[in-house]
Amino acid sequence: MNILGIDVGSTTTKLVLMEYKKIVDYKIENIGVAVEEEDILKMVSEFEKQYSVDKVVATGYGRHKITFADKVVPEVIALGRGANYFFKEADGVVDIGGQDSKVIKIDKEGNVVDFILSDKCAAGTGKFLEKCIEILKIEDDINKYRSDRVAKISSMCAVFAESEIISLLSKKTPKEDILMGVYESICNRIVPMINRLGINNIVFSGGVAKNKVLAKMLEKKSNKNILIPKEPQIVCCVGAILEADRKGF
Amino acid sequence: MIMFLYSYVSKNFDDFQKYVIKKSNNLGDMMELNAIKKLKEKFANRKEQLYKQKEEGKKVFGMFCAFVPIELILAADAIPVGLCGGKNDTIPIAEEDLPRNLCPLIKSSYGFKKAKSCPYFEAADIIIGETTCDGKKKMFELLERMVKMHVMQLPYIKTEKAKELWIEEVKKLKELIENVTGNKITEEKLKESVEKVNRMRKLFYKLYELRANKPTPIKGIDVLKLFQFAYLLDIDDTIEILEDLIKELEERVKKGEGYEGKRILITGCPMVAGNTKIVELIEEVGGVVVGEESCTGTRFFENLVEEVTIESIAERYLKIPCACMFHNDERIENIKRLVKELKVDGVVYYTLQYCHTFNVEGARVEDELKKEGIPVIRIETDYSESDREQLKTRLEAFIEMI
Repeated sequence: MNILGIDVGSTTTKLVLMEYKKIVDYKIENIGVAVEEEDILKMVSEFEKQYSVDKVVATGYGRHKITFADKVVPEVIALGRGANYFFKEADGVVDIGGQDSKVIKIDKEGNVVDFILSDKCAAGTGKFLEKCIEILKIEDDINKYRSDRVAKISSMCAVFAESEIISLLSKKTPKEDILMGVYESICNRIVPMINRLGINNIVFSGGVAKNKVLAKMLEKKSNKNILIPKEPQIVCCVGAILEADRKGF
Repeated sequence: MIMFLYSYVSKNFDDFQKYVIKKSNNLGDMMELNAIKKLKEKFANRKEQLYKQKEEGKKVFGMFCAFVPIELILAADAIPVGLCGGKNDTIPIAEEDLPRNLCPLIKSSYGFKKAKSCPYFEAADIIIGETTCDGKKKMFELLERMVKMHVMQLPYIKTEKAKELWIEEVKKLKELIENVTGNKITEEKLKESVEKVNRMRKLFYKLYELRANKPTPIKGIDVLKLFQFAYLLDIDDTIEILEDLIKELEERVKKGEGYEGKRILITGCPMVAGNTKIVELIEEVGGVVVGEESCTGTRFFENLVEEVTIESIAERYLKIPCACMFHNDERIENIKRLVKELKVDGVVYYTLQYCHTFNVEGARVEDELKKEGIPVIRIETDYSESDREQLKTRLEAFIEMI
């Protein structure tokens, strides 16, 4: 059976096609929750040109927008399953999404045992990082920017951090030092959540996990084993398919 | 469509129940309990009724909290009434005087007075406050400039000395009530009011007993409204509604009718009228609220006044396990007991943003519950609607998880 998963995140939409628990194909579109159902239908029909689709599963912040879905799975549950699919040894997930950050504890089967989500504010989210990168006017590969010096950004608030970054720039602090400060501020937000749940082998998912420098810092600061799948953005979508399949349509 | 649903309902009642709880409120209305309908009617007429009672010469005592011994007010033929404080609308005007990072309940209620938009505030001859949390007691200092107030000194600890202080405070309140109303609180009058309030409490106990059934015969949102309005309505009306409701629910239980879904206990901050977001969300995503350890819940009715004395009244109120108390262990015990009694699947720990007492105590409660293997999720929010979807994500996952 071919199952198509659609994960409508706040900033991107992910589509994954799986056949008998094997990923056949996937696609990441740069449009998030603002997406219209028609656009999604278009994406689906692209897939249907190549493959037959038997069932559709929806997840993500905009999951309820997909009215034609056969099954809807909450992201937290999907992330647990997805993490377990990519790494059998995983006992937790850190997902830094556009909208919020999730830290999840899972058992050996990928069932969610406990979870914490960041509060309603942009601190420690992908949006925060995106905003900072925008202010720093970094347009090329983000992984090129790294430094041993970490500029201090004391505010966790995305709005206040902006003014801090501007004042750092005016003091001629190098961009990469500021960026390291931004990463540190994100880690300072995530690490206490990791410690609260007491997880050790953590799958890092979501778009932010593609940032190697940040991932390295998170590993160092949390002192935990950080596992990153080749495509960290589809963990949730894959998990949603597996969860739906497990529960039956 | 309605006809179709109707025939469907009679054929397949259980499935319909699940449908009701998961889908919109409109469908829920088909099943609305008569007592809840009556509750809403009484509430709609309350303003008019209150002003009429006032015209008849009755004094109105506004109150913020479950700590005010309403027996004393009733015994002086006066009216205790809760004050508004559950809406976002009045927060901007409150923030002209109060800091932004203050609990929305405090800001909202202050704003209601400043905007003169709460009929109960406006009807009140005097407001009875009490020194519960820091935010509230300091807000009272500003509120005093706009309205006549009496603030009871509530101790933050439950030692013998503290109990003495509280008894003194209750005595002082009695004198004040007698002065404001011009009515003497006689022993006979007090006996009458103690019995009446106890009767209401016993009916709430009975309601909780009925909710313990599987399926549970009433939706959490209806019970929340009942608690919210119980602060505002005339006590005789509340008792009447409760009696009707219990009869109706007993019928449902007998027939095995009710709501399926993951059984949720809410614990934490009060949810005063206007604030229904969390309960709505829980019941939208497949849960059903079967109990609330809250000031709009057990803290409102648990423990009876044992004797017709000021001491006994004071003692009953000091037992309220509010998070403003130091070493508030009774609360944790209460939650554990309620989880068992109400056959709860998971606990939603609800805090208003910037409510330090409940927020900090949450860590202890969470640890204690987890030790017993009781799933718990902590939710912090305010009165805005902007986080509805995010909260839904969380609650949906929690309910799926348990």
